[in-house]
Amino acid sequence: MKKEMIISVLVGLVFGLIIVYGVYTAQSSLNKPNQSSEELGVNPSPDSSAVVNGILVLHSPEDESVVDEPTVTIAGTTNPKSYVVIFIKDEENITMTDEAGRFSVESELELGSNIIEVYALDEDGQTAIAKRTVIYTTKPLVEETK
Amino acid sequence: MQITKQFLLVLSLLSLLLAMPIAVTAQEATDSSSSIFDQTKTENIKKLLQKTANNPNVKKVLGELSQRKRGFIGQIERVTAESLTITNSKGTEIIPIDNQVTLLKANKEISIDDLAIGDWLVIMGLIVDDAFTPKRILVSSATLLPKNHVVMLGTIVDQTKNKLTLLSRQNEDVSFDLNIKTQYQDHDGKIVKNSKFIKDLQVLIVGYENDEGKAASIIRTLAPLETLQGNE
Repeated sequence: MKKEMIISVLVGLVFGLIIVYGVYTAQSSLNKPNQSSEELGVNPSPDSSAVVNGILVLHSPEDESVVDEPTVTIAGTTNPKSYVVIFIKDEENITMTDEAGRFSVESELELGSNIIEVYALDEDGQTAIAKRTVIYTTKPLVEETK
Repeated sequence: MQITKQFLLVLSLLSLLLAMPIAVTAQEATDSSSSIFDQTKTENIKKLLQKTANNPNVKKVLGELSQRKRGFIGQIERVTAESLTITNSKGTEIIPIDNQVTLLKANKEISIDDLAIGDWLVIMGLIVDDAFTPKRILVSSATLLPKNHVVMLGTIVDQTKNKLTLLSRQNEDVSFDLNIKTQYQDHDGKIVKNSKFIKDLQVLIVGYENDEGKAASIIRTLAPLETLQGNE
């Protein structure tokens, strides 16, 4: 008799626990989608300005940008100890990357269009190229509304 | 005995049934308290956002962000009274033209009738709600594209007064024309005499390519010339 009693109580408890766990899991799964969509909303989108070309990532300048400053910083990342040759129009500038593969060069812009071409050459002579168009103007665009 | 058994069975079922509402009630209680907390948080955030939005500096930045500037180049393919079709390395684009757009050639204002197919344009404007609106267009009859650049690493295999042959790192012989504008540089960019550039020297060549071939603008040694001469 005692044995049967204990078994009945245990079976009841196990069922009860299973159902409680089931309800808890159902509630959690209902809340989960909202949480993940919030998380997605705050995640930063990939940097569209960083264009990957082979082994070269150019962080700045932004392509097709209009600037009112006569200088621009050309910065990016490629293989460590690579040669980087930067052309602005037909003026060349040679630099080397640091041990992390980073480079940064400040260059003068000409009024009007400036096509910036960046060539990165690793030790094997493999070349990666990235291009940017930057327009330098001293006249504001927004005040031109007639 | 039988009665006790039935009593125990009923007790088990009752405990089972009671467990459900307790769990649900606990869950609801948590939800309602977190909902009140969330509401307070949302109101605080709203207040903070409103305060920030009223800041003149923030207003200025937001204005600039909503009207992003865009500038690019292209060559005219087609001209109509209302639009220009241009082509560039990214493809073809139709630019709407109205009386709000200023067309300038050599700093003088021109009309759309003065544009010709093949002219090069620097197009500047604003992107509002993903739509590009041109504001100012600079016109040029000459190309705005740079030269075709060449950059190469390799070993000098032969050099004459007007020509240099390089064995590239890809094991190809490449010839470069030399001219009075060709600069010879040490590894740090310091200008040196061309006589120091001899066979078997590892160099970086920067130049350009046209219909006549490749020409070198800069020949730079990869290792310091002093070290190389010391080793000889």
